[in-house]
Amino acid sequence: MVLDFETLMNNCADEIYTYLVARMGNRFDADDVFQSTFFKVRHSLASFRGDSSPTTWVMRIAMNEASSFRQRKGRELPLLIPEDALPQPDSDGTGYDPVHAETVQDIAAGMRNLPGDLRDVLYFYYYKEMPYEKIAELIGKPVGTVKSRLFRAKEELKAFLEAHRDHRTQ
Amino acid sequence: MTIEHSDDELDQLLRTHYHATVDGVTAPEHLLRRVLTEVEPKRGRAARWTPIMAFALAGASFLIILASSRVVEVLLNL
Repeated sequence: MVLDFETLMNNCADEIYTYLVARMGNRFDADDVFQSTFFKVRHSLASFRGDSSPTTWVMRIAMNEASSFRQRKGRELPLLIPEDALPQPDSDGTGYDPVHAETVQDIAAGMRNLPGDLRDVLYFYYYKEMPYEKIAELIGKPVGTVKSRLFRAKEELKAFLEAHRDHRTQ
Repeated sequence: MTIEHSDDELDQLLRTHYHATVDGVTAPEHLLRRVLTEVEPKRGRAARWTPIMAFALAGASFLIILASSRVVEVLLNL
């Protein structure tokens, strides 16, 4: 199967970049991993056998690069949430729940503490709305592993949110 | 006081978080251009040899300087 690098990149760039922003939590690291992902894609293009769709193949490379980037760097920049990304009050001041806004911020902070493999399943399940089977195929693990990772991720997030809420109300 | 988050509430929060963070995100044009035009940085084996090569080069330079100074010394003694 012959793939043209530029066409492939243009076809899946947004999808991969969106994943990387969610996974890395900031655009600086997402930019770095995006570049290393596509350098690797270009390097390995001839070895693509067509077992999966090209986008799935690139996504797997991006997931590996994101994991190794985190190990290589050993640090993370703070999660950047644009101001307007948080729940905002309407012009008349209604429709705004400050507790909800704080909790959304807490979720972002809680994400930082999650291992990458747990972040991945959360992203594919809650944002991409993929079924368990599709996620399992993408990450190359059984469906049971996907379910247990989702469960663990949510338990860890709940514990984080509760600890934060307790701290705030003390 | 402990407020427990139900699964439904957490599901909703996670969806809100993702939509707030990555909705409408697209790969920047300059990044696409850079990937297309830039040469892949040296990694793996090639990158591992770089410090060894630098060290060898520095050693060779030192030997050349040492040999030159010996030559000058010999010439001055003639």
